[in-house]
Amino acid sequence: MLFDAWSEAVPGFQPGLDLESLAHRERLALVDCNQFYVSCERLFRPELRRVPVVVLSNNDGCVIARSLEAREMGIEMGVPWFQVRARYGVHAPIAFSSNYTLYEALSERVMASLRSFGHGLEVYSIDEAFVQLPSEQPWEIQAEALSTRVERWTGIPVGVGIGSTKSLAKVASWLAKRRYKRPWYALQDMAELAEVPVDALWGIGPRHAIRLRERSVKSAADFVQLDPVWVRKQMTVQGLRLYLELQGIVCHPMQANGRRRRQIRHARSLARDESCLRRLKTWLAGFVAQAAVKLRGQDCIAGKLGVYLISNRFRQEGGYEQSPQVFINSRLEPASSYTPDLLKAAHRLLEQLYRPGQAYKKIGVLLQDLVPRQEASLNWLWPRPESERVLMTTVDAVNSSLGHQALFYACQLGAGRYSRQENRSPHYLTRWDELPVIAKR
Amino acid sequence: MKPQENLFVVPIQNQASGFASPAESEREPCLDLGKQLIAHPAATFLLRAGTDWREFGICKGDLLVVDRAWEPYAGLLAMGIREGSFCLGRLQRSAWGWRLGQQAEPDDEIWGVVCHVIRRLV
Ligand SMILES: [Mg+2]
Repeated sequence: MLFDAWSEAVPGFQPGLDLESLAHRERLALVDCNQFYVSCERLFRPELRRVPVVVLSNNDGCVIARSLEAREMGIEMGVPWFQVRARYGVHAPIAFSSNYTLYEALSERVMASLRSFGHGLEVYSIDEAFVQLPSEQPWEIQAEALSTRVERWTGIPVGVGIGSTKSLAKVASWLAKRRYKRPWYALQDMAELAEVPVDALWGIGPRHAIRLRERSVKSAADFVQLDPVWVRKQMTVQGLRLYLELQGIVCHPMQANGRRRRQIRHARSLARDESCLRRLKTWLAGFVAQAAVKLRGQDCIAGKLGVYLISNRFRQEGGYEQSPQVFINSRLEPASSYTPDLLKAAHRLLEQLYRPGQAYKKIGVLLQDLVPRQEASLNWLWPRPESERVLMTTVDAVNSSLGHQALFYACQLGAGRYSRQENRSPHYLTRWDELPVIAKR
Repeated sequence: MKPQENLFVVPIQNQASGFASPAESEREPCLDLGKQLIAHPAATFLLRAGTDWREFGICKGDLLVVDRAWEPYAGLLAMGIREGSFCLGRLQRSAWGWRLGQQAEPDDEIWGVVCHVIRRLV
């Protein structure tokens, strides 16, 4: 049992190898932007530096990012904005609608600043990356160099945590932020795991946290004392990987070329509750078209397509219980990146999901089972006509040079503005007519 | 414009004949203004002047190319933050580090060096 578990969890594990010898001597840094969306909003608004600021989800629904000041006011992640406004009135924080165009552009600059060191880099999320550190220099000095350069070049403050595996780097980053209140921290020895509560560990959800606490496992140090067989049984191979990573054994190796997305999602809240099937179809068509652009951007085709519908959950009588989200998907035969195919499939699924009279709040599309087009075409019985690919390339090229939506599908007509974004900041970095302005006072 | 026409324009090389053009080895990429003006792409930001700064030769509407990675030295034009808003000034060295202009205040912050000013004339 144990042997099977090891070989399942640890890449490169072979019989005869003992785990000690696999312990990693190198170091990884997790670089994590501090309150990333808020930092982006503050970059060209220096007057907001010490003021409570929050960023709202699409359609200005919920708080998705908070400045430290807003956190200290007691504003929780995920609370609906209307509640915050009702409670704090004129003292409510400054709120921004989310401006992903700006966040993506700044994220690219953060990653480019990190790449300029020439070390291995894995972009983990919009505001986090792992950096492989060379061993010539002391870790603390390298951490300082990373955080200084990113902040100086991009204006975005970052924290750096250093450990020998990704999970330990994450632990170090947690210690830096929460325990020691400093911009970087290199994990010194395993005794420090006692400082870290289990629910702060990477990938331990509330369910596992409760089960662990029942066994009086409170800290990461308690967690690594558990029996690995129990961990594998109760917490799947993911839990076992965490268990090993916390002891310095790499189970999640660096993936230097970043992420190729396994699925593409495009979902948005609607400005008003929508119960008209025709208009839902119009909106869905727009999201499908955008997801398809991303799909072709990775030169992939999708094997499956799914559609979501979510009805309004905040306007129900008597409270906030979540009303059902509905989702169905179906296989695309054959797999495709041709927008008309995807639109047809999405509309068919929407017709199945839709219930007349029901008011919907949010709608979205999910593209799954992505395969690189080149790989897929090898075992294709019926090759897709080349004309389809040429047409899509043309449409994408026109839209990327003339602005998106220069060409669109007839079924997108009449959508109007789908989302309410009352306080979106300018696209400072990507539009000539929205550049930040500097003026004498 | 018919977009399809554009897509099929493929530069033809003299491969079949086996004779390379004598100009081939001398060919250089076209001049790229973006590369010339932006030394550190990750650290460079474009801003628009909202007012005149006669003392620095800047007019309303000018485009400022601001590089946050540029090594500071005395006399460079820089953008900074004073009392919560952006300002421009010449860099001066002080005991505490760099400061901005004559009337510098202790908690001034240097934001970036203004490397180019671009003015539209037409
Ligand atoms: Mg972060």
